[in-house]
Amino acid sequence: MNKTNRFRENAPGKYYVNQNCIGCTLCSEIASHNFRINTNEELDVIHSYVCRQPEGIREEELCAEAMASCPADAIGNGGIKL
Amino acid sequence: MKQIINVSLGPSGQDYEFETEFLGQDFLIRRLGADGSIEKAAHLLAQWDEKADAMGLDHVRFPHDIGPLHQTQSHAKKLKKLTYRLRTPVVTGEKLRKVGHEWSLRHIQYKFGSNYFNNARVLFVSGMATYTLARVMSEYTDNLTFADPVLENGIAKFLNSLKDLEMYAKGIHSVLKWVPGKQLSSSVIPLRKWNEYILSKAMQKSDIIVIPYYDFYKYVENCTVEELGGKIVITATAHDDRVQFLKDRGVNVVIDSTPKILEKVVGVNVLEALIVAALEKPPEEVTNDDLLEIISEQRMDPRVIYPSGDPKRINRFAFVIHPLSQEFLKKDKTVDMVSRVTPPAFLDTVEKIVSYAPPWIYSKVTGIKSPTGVEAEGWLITVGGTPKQMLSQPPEFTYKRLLSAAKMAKRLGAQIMGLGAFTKVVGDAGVTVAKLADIPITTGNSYSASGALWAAADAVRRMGLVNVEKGKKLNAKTMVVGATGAIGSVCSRLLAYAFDEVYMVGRNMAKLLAMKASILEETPNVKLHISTRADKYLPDMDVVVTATSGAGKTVLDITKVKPGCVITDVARPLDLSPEDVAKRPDVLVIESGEIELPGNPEMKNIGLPHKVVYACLAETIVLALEGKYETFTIGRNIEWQKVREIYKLGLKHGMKLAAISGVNGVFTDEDIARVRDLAIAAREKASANAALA
Repeated sequence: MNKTNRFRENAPGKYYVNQNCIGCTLCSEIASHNFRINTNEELDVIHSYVCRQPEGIREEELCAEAMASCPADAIGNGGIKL
Repeated sequence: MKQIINVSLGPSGQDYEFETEFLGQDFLIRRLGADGSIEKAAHLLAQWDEKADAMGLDHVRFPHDIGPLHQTQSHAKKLKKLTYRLRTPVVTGEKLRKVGHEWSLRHIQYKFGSNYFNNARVLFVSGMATYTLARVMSEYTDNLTFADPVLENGIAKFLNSLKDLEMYAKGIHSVLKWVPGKQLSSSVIPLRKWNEYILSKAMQKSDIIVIPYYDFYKYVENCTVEELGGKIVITATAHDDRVQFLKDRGVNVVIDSTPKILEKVVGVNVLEALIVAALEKPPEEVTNDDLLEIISEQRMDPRVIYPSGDPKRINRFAFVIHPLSQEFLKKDKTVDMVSRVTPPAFLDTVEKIVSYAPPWIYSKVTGIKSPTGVEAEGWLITVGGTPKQMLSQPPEFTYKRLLSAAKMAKRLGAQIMGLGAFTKVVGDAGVTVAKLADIPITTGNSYSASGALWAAADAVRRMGLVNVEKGKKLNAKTMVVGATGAIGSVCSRLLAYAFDEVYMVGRNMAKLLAMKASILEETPNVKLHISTRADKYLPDMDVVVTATSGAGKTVLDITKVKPGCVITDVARPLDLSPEDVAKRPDVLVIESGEIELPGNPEMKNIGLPHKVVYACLAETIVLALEGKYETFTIGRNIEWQKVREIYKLGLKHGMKLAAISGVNGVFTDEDIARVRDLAIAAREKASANAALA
């Protein structure tokens, strides 16, 4: 599966959500400042994306937890660091 | 008469008994349920030993095809222990099941045009139990998801590849060490509920769901229309109650890997017992070759059930578009607001930045339904560059974005991708993209040409200045400017079918002569004239088609055209500028024919009325509906055969000519009436002048 197939809404940086996402919304529950749900219903592809890269240790921890908890393995942290 | 006993661990309430014929022998088949008790099953087996000719064991969990050896072996040992004292052969149908799995997928893929499963999103509720299926499926698509960790171990994680599944089966996949994170474990939702939720989400996302026979209801008990509606379900031995269950939940297609050769749906174990009894061989000696022979001779094809009654098939396509100009970018509210208060340089910058953006989905297209019953759905994917930006960059810049759009289309499950608007003009017109992309590409130019001519014919009819009789050629004169070119020659051939007199204008005399000969061979009853200068015959023409590659040069003098003439500009870029067109309000200048889709399509606004799309998008849809997933039109040359083929396919799938467009948009009936009135007035004036002179 192609991990580089990321959603374009992702904020540029380390974390990203790719198209494996099944739209379970867990990541936005865990790290609500960094992940958001694409609610454009017309697209029929409800998915999460990184709306803001984590800042500080607390947010970074939450993002790491979101990544570990993602059921579809759709979150990656191999993006470009800014 | 031979007797087959089917001892099932399932409920005894479903017992049956019937007689049948197989391989020229008579059989009595009887099912005995043991209500889940192994002791009772063993007792039944012993009771029927040496009385029956073969026995089948039903409702046993089949050993997994993958995983540690000791696990698969221990399962076989258990079964052996149960049956080793018996003299009558006992089978579970394992062999037939495996062959059936593989055969059913390959057969269906082949039967439905070798593209049925291509690039579909497939969810396996138990990849371990259906490993053979998964392996075959991986040949057709990369989009596999396995729910084994979720359902087997309660781990809230899916596996996304066959390799992951193999590692998981061996017990070495890292997912097995997973523990719920802080948030999940401290949450009030029990993990079990959470797992049900993510499974439902994964089901919603998939096109095909594979459910094993064993524990069928356990896997789907919580499913509703939301999860299963519109899906294809692959399972084995779909008894009537299961088909009903799936029907109630809106499943489109059920594929049953167990062949149905008797009037009743029976499990693989019964079929294998039948084969064993008919061949009179011990089960160990029944080889795969024996099975193959029987499968091919008995036509044991897998069952394809359409629970709603009608065969249903949904094909998927993608189409690339782009913002046409800066105005388009203003549709974003923020951009619009800021652009009002900033100098124009702001919009230029936005335009430039957006052109670097990766592709994104503009709209999903649903509800296209051909009269043949096939449905299509798709996605409009947009790349960022406006034509201005695409031209200012090397073609590779656009190729790169088109290729990532193709990748995205593939991930979405599209089986063919069309290039829209300017994306097919850049560089070599799709050749490179088609070569490098993983899915078939088409530019849609064949249908564009066909659509423009279709529109011309319709416009002539609506103008009403030429006598049109059904089934007869039009008694009118037509001219093709640029007749020796790729599109021009196609147009000449088409017009020769419809008009009495065709004038072909080109620069190359020899080519024109050769074309004339070849057209006369196809349509002998047409008067063909050839010329190297358009102006000479221009004042007599009723219909003019311009298809040159002049790119902005003046190819014909519009002031000399006969009033009421219909000019069709098939060339891209256009041969006639809007200023030229404005000079002659008594002439109808057509740019393209838009196509109305069959069914009730839903999509975001693309600047056309409801149900109406551009011909190039329509070509992609027609190809998807037909299941013709091949690189159809690419490059600058259009082939005459393709134009004809796509036109016929379009008619087959219910495409209609929707609108006639000129340089300033769609012509309404009033517009056409106005042009007509002006033309009649001009003609009267001209004849009055002639009379005076």
